[in-house]
Amino acid sequence: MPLAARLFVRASLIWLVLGFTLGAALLAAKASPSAPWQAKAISVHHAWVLLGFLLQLTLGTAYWIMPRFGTRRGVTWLAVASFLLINAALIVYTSAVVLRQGATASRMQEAAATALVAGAAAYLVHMWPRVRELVVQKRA
Amino acid sequence: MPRIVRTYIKTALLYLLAGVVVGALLFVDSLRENWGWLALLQPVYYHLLTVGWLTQLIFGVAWWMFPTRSRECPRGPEWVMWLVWALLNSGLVLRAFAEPMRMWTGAPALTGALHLSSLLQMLAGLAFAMQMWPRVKAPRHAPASEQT
Repeated sequence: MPLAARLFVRASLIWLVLGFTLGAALLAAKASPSAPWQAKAISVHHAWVLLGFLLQLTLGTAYWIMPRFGTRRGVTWLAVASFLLINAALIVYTSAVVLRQGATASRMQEAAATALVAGAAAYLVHMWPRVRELVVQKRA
Repeated sequence: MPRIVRTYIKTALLYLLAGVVVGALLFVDSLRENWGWLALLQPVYYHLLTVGWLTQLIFGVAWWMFPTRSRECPRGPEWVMWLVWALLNSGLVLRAFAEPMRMWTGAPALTGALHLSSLLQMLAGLAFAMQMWPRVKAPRHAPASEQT
């Protein structure tokens, strides 16, 4: 499994554990009267599970198995940049939610959103040329 | 395809159907107006599809396809994955019944069910991550293309 794929998949496993743990806390808390933290925590839970776990596991596995150009996987640094941007976005977004409100939190949310979109775009640019017919070279 | 993987995928397909059925019921406004309790199924709908279908499908296929650990135990101990399957599905089924019932009736007895459901699902995620972590690696004698 190549480096970028390992980065994405290992990160996804970490976010899986974090997301499921937070989800477990939220489900257990449902049995009690609603506390203020739950409303914010739900959005964080969604982000950790959907973007942290599901998305990154998909991105990493796709990076690994999609068609290559000979022995190369195209522009590798774009995939690594995508990994850094997506995970930075998740960390910054979580921090913004913890801060709750104010101008700083708003700016952090905007930065996280920008990083997330940039990360997705970087991955798309990397992957687009790899979505092609597999060419099997026959030996003479 | 190993039996355990078939079990994961077939179970995931059942959740897909169940999730889509619940979602379809929620789509119809007239049904929601006449059956107000349908709104209680919203979190169940989300989790049937994301946990029951998507996550379970990923668990099964990843366990099947990811690089092997060793020649002696290529995919790791199979009993762990059976445990993950049992934890995940018992937690999810328990949630599917206990959560809307708790919201509808407010019965304190269902509090324990929700706590148990949350614990079961969390343990399933943790066990899967621990099972798969050693398999996220580069092949030993990999060419440069496999390293990056």
